[in-house]
Amino acid sequence: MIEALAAAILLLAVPLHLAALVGGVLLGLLFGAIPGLGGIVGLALLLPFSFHLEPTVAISLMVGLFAVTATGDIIPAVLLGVPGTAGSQATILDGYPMAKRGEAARALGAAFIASIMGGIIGAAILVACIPILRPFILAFGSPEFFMLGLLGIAMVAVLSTGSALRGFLAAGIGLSLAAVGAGPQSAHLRWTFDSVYLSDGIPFVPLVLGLFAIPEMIELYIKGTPVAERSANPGERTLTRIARSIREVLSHWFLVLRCSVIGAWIGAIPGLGSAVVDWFAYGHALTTSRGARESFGRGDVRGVIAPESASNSKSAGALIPTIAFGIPGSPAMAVFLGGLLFHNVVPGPQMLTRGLDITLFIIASLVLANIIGGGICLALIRHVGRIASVPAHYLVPGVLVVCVFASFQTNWHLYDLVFLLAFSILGWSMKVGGWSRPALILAFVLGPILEQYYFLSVGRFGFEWLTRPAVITMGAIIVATLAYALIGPRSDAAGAGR
Amino acid sequence: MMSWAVLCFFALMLASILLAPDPWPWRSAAFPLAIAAICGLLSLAETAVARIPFLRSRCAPRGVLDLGLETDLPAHRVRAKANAALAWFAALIGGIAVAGFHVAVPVFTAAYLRLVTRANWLATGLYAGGIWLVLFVLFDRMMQVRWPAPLIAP
Repeated sequence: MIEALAAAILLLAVPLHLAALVGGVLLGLLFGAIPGLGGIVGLALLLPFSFHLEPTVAISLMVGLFAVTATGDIIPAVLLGVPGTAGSQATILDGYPMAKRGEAARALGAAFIASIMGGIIGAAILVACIPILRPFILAFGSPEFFMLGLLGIAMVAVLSTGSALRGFLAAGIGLSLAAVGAGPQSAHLRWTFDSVYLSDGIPFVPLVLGLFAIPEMIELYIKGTPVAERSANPGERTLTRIARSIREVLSHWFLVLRCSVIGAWIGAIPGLGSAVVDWFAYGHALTTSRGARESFGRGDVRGVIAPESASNSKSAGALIPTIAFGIPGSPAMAVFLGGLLFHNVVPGPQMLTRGLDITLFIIASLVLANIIGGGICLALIRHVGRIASVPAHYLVPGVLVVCVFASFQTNWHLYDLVFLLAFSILGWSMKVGGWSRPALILAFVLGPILEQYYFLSVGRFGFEWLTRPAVITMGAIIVATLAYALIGPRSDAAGAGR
Repeated sequence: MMSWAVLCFFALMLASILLAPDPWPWRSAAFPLAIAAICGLLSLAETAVARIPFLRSRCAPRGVLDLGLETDLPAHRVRAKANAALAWFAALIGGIAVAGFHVAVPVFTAAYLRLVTRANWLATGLYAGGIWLVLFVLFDRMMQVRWPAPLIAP
């Protein structure tokens, strides 16, 4: 193990590998920051170019890219309320209100530091757990996946504080939209109106941008002012700001640790999807942090730290099944797996024995990429933060055009734009009417998982799956979550984390 | 208004499954049917809460965890401005469908800046040209995006 670790570090120290890693990090930050692109698109674009490179150089490039897309997407999420990728939706809820208060630099700093720490903790979990994870992951069957999906839906009640009824209805709309297209159990097409486009279901990116990004732009258009009319501590030096961010995140170290574990755990489970990681971490922080029910959603720094530490930790978690079993932990990992196979790096149990040096090289690259990516972003906070001060009438047309382009990447079809417009109207109506958009989006992501794993569970185990220990445990957590949402304490100390 | 719309949504959903001329297979219908039935009942309750003053006062939302609308403008002005913003957005999408990305994007940006911001021609030209150039390089050249054929000449 020590020899393999030394070999991995020596390999990483090769200037060409470091250069490739930095190149990948820069691309990853760019792809993360542009709404609608993200790690999958970036890796898919990079893959053909990596064919001509040495395997270790190609791995450095790819790891650098996918490790930091979750860091780059913080920028539009905090400054504009626009999710850069699916994994930054929860960050908006507190990051954007902080930017509106003139605390964009504070939110960005905390998010970047939390990202770095999440990435490092996730990698540490990856190293520590590889030998013992195989039985754990393989024990996770369709009943447990179903219950995990249900737990996500139960979180809707928690996320929709004080308005559980509307939260469940918004989730119902999300589940209904997720049911459009070919069902997982038969070839029957549901609500497609004979459209080939809809046979694949409702597109995700137009839904996310329509629900979250466009309504915020409409609000900016109405107000006619910049996102932030003033900036807190405008003259603060970069190093002072970074030191303050580190202190702030370290004061919530236990939250970072818990959310990183959640991120690595969910990332390690193939099929659950990266879009839910930040919501699980956010929901966890909401239910366990003092005063969170009053302050979350209004610009609480803990609402930024929690999802961001989980988001970067997830990348390490997703590597566990990819490297150890050859099962991609996320769609981006499927592309990464293709890249590894092309370079004759065959994932599987042998990666923990004969190929341990390459495995540790990947993990070390992941840690370094997180540090470099976070460091670059921290150094640029002062300049990036100025976006929040750009007059609304210059910001709105640019962001609208970028959202249109990002939506169009889904299927390269005009219907992508029609759906973007339709979901923008829905998103605006929900924002004005006080309906929970997070509930809708979370249910949309979890809907197909629930349906698929329910029928698989019943098909394989009948109704005996209800007696499995993990199912009973998660059932108890769901009941407790719902009970807490409906009758939980309303008198937490407000603003504990402000 | 939104409560009624949600109620109608679930009612239509339920009807489209139950009254479909070509019945849905059980395995396809089970989940949507369960969602429509449960949410239909919940939306009835929500509509009742919204309509009956006694229930409304007892079940009023204590704040939804989402980004609410923050403005001091009166409701009618907010509505008018929101409609105008959505109209601009619809015009951009309509322009793309009719004239294509390469024409619609700079024209939309320039028109917006001139009519809404009252920016001068130099700033308008620089901004619209800059946006077009960035998107052209990123999407057209680097990502080789296939643009949809516009309705009029490409």
